[in-house]
Amino acid sequence: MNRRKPPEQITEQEWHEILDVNLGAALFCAQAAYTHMKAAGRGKILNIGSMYSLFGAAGVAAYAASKGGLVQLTRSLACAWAPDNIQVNAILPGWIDTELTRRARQQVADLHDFVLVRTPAGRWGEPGDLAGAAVFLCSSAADFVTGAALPVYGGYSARG
Amino acid sequence: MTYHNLSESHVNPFDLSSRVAIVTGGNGGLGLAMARGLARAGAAIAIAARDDSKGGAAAKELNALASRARFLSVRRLIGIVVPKTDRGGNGGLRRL
Repeated sequence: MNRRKPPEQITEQEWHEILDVNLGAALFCAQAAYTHMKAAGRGKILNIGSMYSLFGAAGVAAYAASKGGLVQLTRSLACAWAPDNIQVNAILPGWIDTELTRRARQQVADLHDFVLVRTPAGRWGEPGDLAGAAVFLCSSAADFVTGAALPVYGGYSARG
Repeated sequence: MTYHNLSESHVNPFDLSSRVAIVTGGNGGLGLAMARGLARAGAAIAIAARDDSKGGAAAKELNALASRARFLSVRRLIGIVVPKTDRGGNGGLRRL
């Protein structure tokens, strides 16, 4: 959930809505799953962050706070539940062509071309670009990977 | 607790056929794309999403990938999660 507006205009209700949906729900869904994963003796939790887990921007203060917080939540859950053989990781999608980012491109002039120029891979991501990272982090191949935040973004922050 | 040592194991380390994946928001966009990947790796999928018709369509599509996909209404999940997040009616979750 996101609402683009300057931080000085964010209402208390909007702040709580965005933080509750993007961050609070991740904790309480994880709590609901934890009981069953602990009983099963293993489990994988995968949170979905954002480029705004890494960066800020003028119009996304609440969204960026929620997605930055989600990475810290991920690390804390990973520490708490590692003894239960539950791995908790995050994927940070880059600029992916979805309904959400199509709307962003309507609202933010030049965003489309900016992403093309800024991304070393030279393209927008496709939703399917995330599947490999999701499979990996949910598989036994990643049993020693926990508390990680894996960007899937065509090298977006690798370029200075 | 047993750990996989991939350098010594003959098991496909990416095989999810003994796993169940609950994919919240898995009825479209990034969620569905990740659900497809998990399904192709053999996982049984539970799509947890708000829109019943989109959720049903996503489960049908995933079943065509030889998966075991079901659509779950999230209302029960919301019943568990919302009372913990809502503070005096401010919470956005209540409207989901």
